[in-house]
Amino acid sequence: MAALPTTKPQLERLLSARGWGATLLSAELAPKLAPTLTPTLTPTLANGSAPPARPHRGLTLLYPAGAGGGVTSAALRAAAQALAAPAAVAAWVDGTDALDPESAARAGLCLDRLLWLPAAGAPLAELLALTQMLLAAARFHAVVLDVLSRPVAELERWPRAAWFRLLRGLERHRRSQLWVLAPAALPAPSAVTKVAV
Amino acid sequence: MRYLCFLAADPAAARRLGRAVRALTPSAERGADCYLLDWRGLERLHGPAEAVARRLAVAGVHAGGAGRKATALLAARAAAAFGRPCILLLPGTEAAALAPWPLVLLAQTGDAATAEALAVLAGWGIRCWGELAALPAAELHARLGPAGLRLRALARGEGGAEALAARPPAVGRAVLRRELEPPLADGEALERLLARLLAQLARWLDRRDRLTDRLDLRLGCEHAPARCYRARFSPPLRQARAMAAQLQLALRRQPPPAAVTGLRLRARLTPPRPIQPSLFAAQESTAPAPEATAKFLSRLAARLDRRQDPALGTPRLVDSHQPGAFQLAPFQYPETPGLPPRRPPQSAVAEPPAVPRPAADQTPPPPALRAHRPPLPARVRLNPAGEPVAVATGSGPWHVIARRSGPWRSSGGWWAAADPAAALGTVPAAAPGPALASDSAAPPRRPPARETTFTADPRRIWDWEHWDVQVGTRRLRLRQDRRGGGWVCDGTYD
Repeated sequence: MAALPTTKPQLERLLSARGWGATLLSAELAPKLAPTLTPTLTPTLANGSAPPARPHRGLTLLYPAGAGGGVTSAALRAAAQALAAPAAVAAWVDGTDALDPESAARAGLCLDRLLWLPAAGAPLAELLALTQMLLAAARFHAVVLDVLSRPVAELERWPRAAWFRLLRGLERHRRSQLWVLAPAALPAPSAVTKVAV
Repeated sequence: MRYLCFLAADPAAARRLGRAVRALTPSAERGADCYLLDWRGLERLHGPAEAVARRLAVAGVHAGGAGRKATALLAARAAAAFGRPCILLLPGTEAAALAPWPLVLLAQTGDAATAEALAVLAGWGIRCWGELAALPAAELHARLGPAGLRLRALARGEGGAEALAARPPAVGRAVLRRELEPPLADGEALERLLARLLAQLARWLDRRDRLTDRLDLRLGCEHAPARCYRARFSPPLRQARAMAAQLQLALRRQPPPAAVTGLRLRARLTPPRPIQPSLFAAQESTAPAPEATAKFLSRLAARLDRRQDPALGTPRLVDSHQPGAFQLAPFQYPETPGLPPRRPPQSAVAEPPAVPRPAADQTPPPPALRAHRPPLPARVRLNPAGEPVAVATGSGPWHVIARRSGPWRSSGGWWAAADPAAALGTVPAAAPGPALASDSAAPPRRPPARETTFTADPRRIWDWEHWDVQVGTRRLRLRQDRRGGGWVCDGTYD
């Protein structure tokens, strides 16, 4: 009689050998390099070096590295990149009604395939609920949640569970990319890719 | 005589004619402004067609009769044009009777191609139907195409039934009304009643091959003002359940304040969308069902809970020189949407996706503007040259402007004003003051947000001067209204 596995790696090897490897949580959490978004991010990502390797699960938090800005431009270009696929659609949850259609068009965004949700008056919880609905629809190549001009004090009350709900929504279909534009590096789980612009 | 056509000259005559025709037969075809009756089988019931035509053709009603539908319609139109109550063309004499009629009568029967063909015929010197009927068909087709042949057939009294405007109009309205006695106070009962009405509407739309893109529901309330609700559908649809779901959402968000005494449901009609589905598309790459899309967008709008209409959509740039002008249009999925590609499981990815890098000679794109909606009131100090040197937004402190670029002036809409000269004549000043610090006028009142969300109003008069300024590390877009003199900050470059 074979010895029973006593450690986690032994158990995982045993399950994989018997065809149950897909049920392992570690298979879902295996590291994957984060895709670099746009040319504008390149200088600030790693100061000329390669972007850091970290698990990427479709959720990227963009925040300003300094006072120079550039977060909106980067997000617009990321959305434009997602819309480059034929018949792709994107959604922009605008927590501050700050989207300028002219700038978006100049960044190469196809406005006809953009769903814009201006939601300046909506509380943060509503914005998160809207984003979850968009992710659950699994029809959007890119979803942008813009809370860049929201007060930091409000964003500090961002529930940690919300990050996990968003990640779960992304994992369910694995079809959409979510970009969160925030004024600072919000406390977030390590599964969220944080990029300073 | 096989067909009778009645034409009403005004709405009152149309109502009277409608009642009279319905009393004759329930199977009359209805056009935009006419009724067409197939008189076969009705002769025994109502007498000869000629007598009926003469009896009904009074007070704004003109009648035409012929052996073909199109000729009967043309006869009715000719009667209206000639000021005669009725023109009846007996079988066998139609061509001879039509020959002297002027060519211009045919202009009412066709589209742009027909109008173009008629213009060519007039250029050839063709003045009446007889001359047109005598032209050789092959030569006419070679020069004018199918439109020429169709006109020739009409002139010979051989026109087909396609000339009739028996189809419903491309756009229009359908209205359903219900009076409720006793008044309905139960919300669920109201939703059930609405579902029944919408099912009825859906069947009506189905019979006429029409869709609806907007529903307006007006609820009359007992001892309270009426409450109105609106549901938009993009793309248009005719599924009763989808329509009911949207109206139910609106009703639950804003229930009627009192018992409902009556309701009016008005649907805006649109023609159906022609879609060519792909034979080889995978099942999951087909478009989402229209009712699912409409319901999803409605749920999003309900979440937003905005009073403006529409609350969400697709921003569209408008054909205007007005800076920042755009419109919010209803969002529509592309006709052939493709689902986002499914990311492979994390463990299966061996290499990261390719990193897009700019070419060495590529100029960096301009930064995006983050708009302030509504614009922030600003105070600006000008130098003697009229250039801004310091700015303060709201009630904040003054900031020295390190770099500036501008001004860019634009104006428009003045042509719509009663006095265009006065519309642009009150340019105040970028007038330099005696000292370096010349504050602008008092900060303008902050306009309500609703005014600035949609900035494409063709009637709006504007006369603006824009400046891009750098304050510390921030770059602002300032705007001076040259008609009122106030300054605002339109946005920040980010």
